[in-house]
Amino acid sequence: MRNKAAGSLSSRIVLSVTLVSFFIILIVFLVVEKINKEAFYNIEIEKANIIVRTIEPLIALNIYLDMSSKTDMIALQLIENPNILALKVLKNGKTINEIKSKEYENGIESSFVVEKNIFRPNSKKKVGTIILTYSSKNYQELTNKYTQLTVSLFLFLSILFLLLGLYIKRLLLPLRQIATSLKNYSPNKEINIPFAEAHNEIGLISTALNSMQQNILHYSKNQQNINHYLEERVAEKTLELSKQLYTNNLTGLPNRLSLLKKINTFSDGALIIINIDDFKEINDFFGQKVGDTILIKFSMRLKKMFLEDENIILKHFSGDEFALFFVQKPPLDELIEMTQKLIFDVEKMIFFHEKNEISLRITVGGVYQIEGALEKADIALKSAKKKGISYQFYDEKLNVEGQYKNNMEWVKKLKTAINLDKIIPYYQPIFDNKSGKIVSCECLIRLIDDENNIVSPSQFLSIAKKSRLYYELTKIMIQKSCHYFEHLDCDFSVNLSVEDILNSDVARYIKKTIEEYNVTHKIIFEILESEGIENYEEISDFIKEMKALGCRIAIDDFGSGYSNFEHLLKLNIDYIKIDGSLIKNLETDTNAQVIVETIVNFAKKLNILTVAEFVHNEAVSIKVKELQVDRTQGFFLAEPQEQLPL
Amino acid sequence: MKKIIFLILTLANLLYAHNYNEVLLKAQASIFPKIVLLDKKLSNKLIDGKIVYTIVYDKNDYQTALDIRKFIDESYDGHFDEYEYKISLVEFSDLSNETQASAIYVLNTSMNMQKVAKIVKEKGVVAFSYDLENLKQGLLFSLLLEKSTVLYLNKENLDTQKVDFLDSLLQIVKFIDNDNG
Amino acid sequence: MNQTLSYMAVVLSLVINATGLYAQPIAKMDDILASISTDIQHYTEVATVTKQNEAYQPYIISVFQGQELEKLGVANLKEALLLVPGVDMATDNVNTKTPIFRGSNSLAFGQSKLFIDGTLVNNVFFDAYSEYLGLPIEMIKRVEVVRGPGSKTDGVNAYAGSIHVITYAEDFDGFESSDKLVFKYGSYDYKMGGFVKTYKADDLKVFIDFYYQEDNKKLPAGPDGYSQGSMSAFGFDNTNLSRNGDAPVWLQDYSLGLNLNYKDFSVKARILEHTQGNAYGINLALPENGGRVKLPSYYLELGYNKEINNYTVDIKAGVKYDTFDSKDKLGPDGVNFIDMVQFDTDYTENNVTFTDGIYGEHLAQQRTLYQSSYLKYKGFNKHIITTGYRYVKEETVDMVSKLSNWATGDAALVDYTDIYPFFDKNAKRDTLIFSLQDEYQLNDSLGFIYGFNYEQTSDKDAGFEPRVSMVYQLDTNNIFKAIYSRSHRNPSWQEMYTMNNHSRVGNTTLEPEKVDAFELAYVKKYSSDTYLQTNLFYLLNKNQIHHSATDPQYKNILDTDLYGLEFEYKGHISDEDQFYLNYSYVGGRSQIQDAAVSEPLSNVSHHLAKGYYIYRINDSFSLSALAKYVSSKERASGDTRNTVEAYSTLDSALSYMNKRYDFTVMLSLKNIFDAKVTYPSPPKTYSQDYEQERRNFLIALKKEF
Repeated sequence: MRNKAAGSLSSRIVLSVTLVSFFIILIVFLVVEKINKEAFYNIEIEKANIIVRTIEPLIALNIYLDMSSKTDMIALQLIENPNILALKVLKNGKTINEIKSKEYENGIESSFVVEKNIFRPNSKKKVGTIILTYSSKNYQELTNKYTQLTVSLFLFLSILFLLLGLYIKRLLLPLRQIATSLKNYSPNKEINIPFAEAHNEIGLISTALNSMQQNILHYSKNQQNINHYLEERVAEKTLELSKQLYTNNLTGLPNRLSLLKKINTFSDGALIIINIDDFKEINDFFGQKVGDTILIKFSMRLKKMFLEDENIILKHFSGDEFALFFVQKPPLDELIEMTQKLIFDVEKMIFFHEKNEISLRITVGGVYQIEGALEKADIALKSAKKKGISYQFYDEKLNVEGQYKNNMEWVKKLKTAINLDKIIPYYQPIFDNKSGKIVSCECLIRLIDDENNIVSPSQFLSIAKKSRLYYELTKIMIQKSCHYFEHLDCDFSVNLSVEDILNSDVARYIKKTIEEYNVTHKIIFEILESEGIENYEEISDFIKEMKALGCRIAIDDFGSGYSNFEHLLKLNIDYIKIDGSLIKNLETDTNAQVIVETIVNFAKKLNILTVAEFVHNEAVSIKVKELQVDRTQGFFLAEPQEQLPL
Repeated sequence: MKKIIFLILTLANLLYAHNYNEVLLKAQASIFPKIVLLDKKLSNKLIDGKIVYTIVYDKNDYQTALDIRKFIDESYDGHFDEYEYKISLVEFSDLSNETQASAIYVLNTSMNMQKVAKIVKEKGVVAFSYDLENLKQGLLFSLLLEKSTVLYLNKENLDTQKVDFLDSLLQIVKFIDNDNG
Repeated sequence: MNQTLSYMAVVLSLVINATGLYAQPIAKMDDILASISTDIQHYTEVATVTKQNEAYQPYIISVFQGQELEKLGVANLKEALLLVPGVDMATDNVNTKTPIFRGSNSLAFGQSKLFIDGTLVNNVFFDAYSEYLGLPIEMIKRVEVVRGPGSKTDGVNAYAGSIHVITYAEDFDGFESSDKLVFKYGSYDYKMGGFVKTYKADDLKVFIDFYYQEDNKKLPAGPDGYSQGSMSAFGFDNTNLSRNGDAPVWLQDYSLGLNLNYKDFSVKARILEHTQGNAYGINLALPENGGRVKLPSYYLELGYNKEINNYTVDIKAGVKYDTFDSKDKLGPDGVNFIDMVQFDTDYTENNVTFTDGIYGEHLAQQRTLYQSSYLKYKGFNKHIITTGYRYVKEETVDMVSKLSNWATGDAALVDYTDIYPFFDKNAKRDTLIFSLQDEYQLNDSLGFIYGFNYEQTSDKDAGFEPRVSMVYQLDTNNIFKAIYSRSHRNPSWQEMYTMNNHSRVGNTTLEPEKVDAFELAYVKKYSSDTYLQTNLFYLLNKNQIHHSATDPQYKNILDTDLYGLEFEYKGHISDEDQFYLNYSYVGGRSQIQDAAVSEPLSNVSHHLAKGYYIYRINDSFSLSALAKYVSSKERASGDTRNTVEAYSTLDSALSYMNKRYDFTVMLSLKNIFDAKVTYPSPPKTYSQDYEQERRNFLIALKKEF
């Protein structure tokens, strides 16, 4: 069977070469003949056309200028050309000139007929037709000759290719014999290859095959050993790598990637992510090594807790984050119960390091669905952390995503408001408690939205702070307030945050603006204390600079933050605005009363004036006066308004 | 001032000259003599073996006619190809059947062109015109500067018995006849 | 044409044997016919280059012949341009005059470009060419004015119009122009002398033109800018120092031009030394005696032009220097102000009093290097393809700022070049323009030009700008044209690089002004010299650069739509006269970007009409009248002054030409009815508009050789 196939290969090559050549030649000849004959035809027609095109303007002129004798002359000259058999000129459908050669009249020759319209000179108006009869003798002779030549050439080439095929077959015969001898080759067995002595390419092949036979024998032994060794190594490494890819190095637990892979294989399930609160502090305090040990211990305890349940898979994402994936969804209330229990159990856990007892608290975010489980559990976890609760399950109603959207919308609204000049100050008077007169005003930021509603800063200020727009707002407030009070005989205060002061651009702007409006002696900067002032030096520099210009400084929301009193007082401030949370329930809350009293006392000693904010009813107002606070601000006395009643 | 203007205007009515475009004049002066040579029956029109190229002008255009003669002389130096030529300047009023001419070049005039046309027809010579409009009045050739330079010939005024132009010349001219004005 | 003829000759001789019947052998006649065809080509070329057959070309252009303008008593290029349909003139406080084309951004320069024999001469500083507007008419063979961006993509972009001045250096076989000597004398003690001279030998042709002119012109100016508070700020009121009187707008010019051609090589060079009075003062204080502004302009261009078969190569390389050089007393004695140098450094306001006034010297010299190569190919039937590039390198090479001492108020000049420059001495710009154009003649009656420019600069690019134009010839007498083109104006040096100036604040981030222009034209030819042309145009201008007293920084803030029409009639009433009349209307609105406010066009005359009449009394005498009407102009919004009033002027000239001795005498009386001609002043500058010449006269004597 094989022998037959090999035997027919060279024959096949020869046969196919012959056949393919034959067809190619045949097709080429047919095509070329067709093209050439057409070309011959076109050449002859074109000759006739050129003649007609050339004489057309002359005949047109002669017709146009009524010079018929000239037309006759042209016709006579034309007919001398043996290829022109007849010429007919029609003017408006009537033959005005006709001439025929003798050959044509005898009807011997075949011919082409070419027709062309005659147009009046410089116009497209047809005035007649030329009909030229042109001999096709030339064309026929030419095509006949060409066909003869083509057929002979075709026969000759066919024979030539046949002979060539036979010769190739003969030449390739030794290859067949070498092939027969190679048929039984195996690396371990030596064979004899013929034609090694021949002085041509076949001899070279035989020699080469012989030396190859030797080399193969040698290498095949080595190769077998190496292969075996490599296979073992590859198997080992693959295992190791896949383990690394999907496990946490520290605890050996499957990692986030592994969870992702896992989640994809299930159509339903639940997930909770466990985050150890303030784990960074443990690391900072005891060192990373201790932290790592605790994490390992913690992971082991978790593992133990859920060892029995095959449906729960424990994962360690990174550092302080672990996850429990529920392959089989427990009922929701059971899951919540389990979570609460987990939190409770963890709180009871105690880890020892040297003599220290370390306990952990955790926050859990959970999700009761598999679509987007990881992201949603993350969102729930963040939400829980933000709210300061120990666990939270993802719920569409939570609308955590919505909040981001809300933020974006507010940023957009803010931009629009800034562009449309819809950020405006409202002014709330501050009264002196002794005289009962307005002594200054606080400028409060307001935004006018699309529906012309007045929006208070609580809705947008915290969002603005996250974007660069915040500084823009400060600048607008400064500029507008200064402008408003430029010609009013009244002190006024503007809120500044620590960020504002630290921003050199804003600081420069403030300086430039208050000077421009010449309000340096009227303006009071209210600096928020609740934010916790850390950069005392820079703040102090700013305050010094402003005070040098004649400005005054107030600390806003005093008593709400964690500021260092000592530092605060070194700032050389002029006013303390007592935090509203202390004032709100002053008439009933005795603790608040004590604190306010203390503040007032030390302020008096330092010659600092005190202001009570959020005074919303008469009772509070009376209490404020009783406690000897210097000034009062609040809805009870006056609301913030667009224009002052001055 | 008004008086001066009035005075000048009154004086001016007595004498005036036409406007000519220099490029057009020169183009015509270069090309028209060559057209004369393309008449196969030119030999019938020679006067003493010479081509007499007659420029017909209004009295006040004498300077223009002189300028044209000067320009032709500078370009042709006495010979249109192998023929000697003579440029004769003739005032419109002096033009008659006796005026010698192998070809006539007509400048602008306010006088009746029919007279010129009649003389030209009788003499059987080629008549060139500065102004295209004159072709309607019986003159044969004119030239205009359009996007390209265009030769105009009024077919109605071509007497094929007396004038026989080279066919290829007729193929580059633009014809005017009674149909297309 | 030539090709067709020779082809025909060959085929004819193949088909038809020549007989011996003819007086001339046919072969000889074919030679004559071939020579006719050469003549036809030559005159077609002359007619095309000299715009004789403009009506049939796919562009809209107005052409005025120098000799015709001489007969009208037109004195110089500026007066010639005032004849162009749709063109009005504007000026500024240093008397930088600029033509306003079709009401386009009337307070900016660089809207139009001036070419002298093909060389762009706009100065880099203002992008204006007021120093060339005084070019005497006797030096000008022809003025060709393209309104709008035009239809050709040839490398240099005009925005609102381009002006091509052709001097007598141009010549064709059979059209050699003679040498001449000119003297002129006129009002304001105007004196001018000049000559043109051509020298020819074999392949070499040298052409020289030279002129000198001066006058002592002063024009009434009214109270100067101080009265409008141009120097009252920071609590100082200097309005009482305002002066009232005549503005020195005198002139002293000389220019030497050289054109040299040797075989395919050419050299073009010109030196123009232009000095003028400081007019209304660079700081809007009416100048006292002694100040001057110099605007010298020098250029040298080498060219190589060669036609090889179907190809024409045109290579040019050149250098141009232009300078703004002002020296004057900039403020009167006793100006009280703050030390601006100090203020601009750290906002400190130190008072200073200039007891003996403020003096200043400002100089900025710019150098332009350029190189262009264009290749024209005529090998495709019916097409002429042109492609090439132009590379331009502009930079400021010298800058000097000297002022009286701002710290002490001492009048003596202090060199502020480094610490308080008036201009950025590092200003530079590289521009590369690539263009491709195809002129396609579809058939005898329909032709197109289409193509594009692509421009890249080292500042903001203008990018890709296409143009398409079409001409349709219904017959010899009725021609229709349609053009669409887009173009731009790059900001000028003044707009970008002015520094430390509180009324002009340079802005290096300016974008080019852009325009999309749509134009339609209909030409009716009544005869070879009588025609009526009607144009309609619609221009969409974007990003127009503007500054004002209230917002002194140059900004791209205006979008202006302009539309209008133009009529132009040339012909004669009788055989012996010549009559020309044009009327143009422009309307439109400006939209201030980023503000939903649109304003009517300010400082623009909606109606313009110009015309002349030349009566040829005989071969020697001609009498002419030239009339112009310019309608009133609205003020910009916020400018409460009355509208700029309409005016009409009438000039008349009598010209005598002696053919025998080849000399000409021309006497002209201009503004015969003593009309008050004013060009608007921007608000907060001079309270009155800039008043121009009243009735004046001019005598010219010209001798030709």
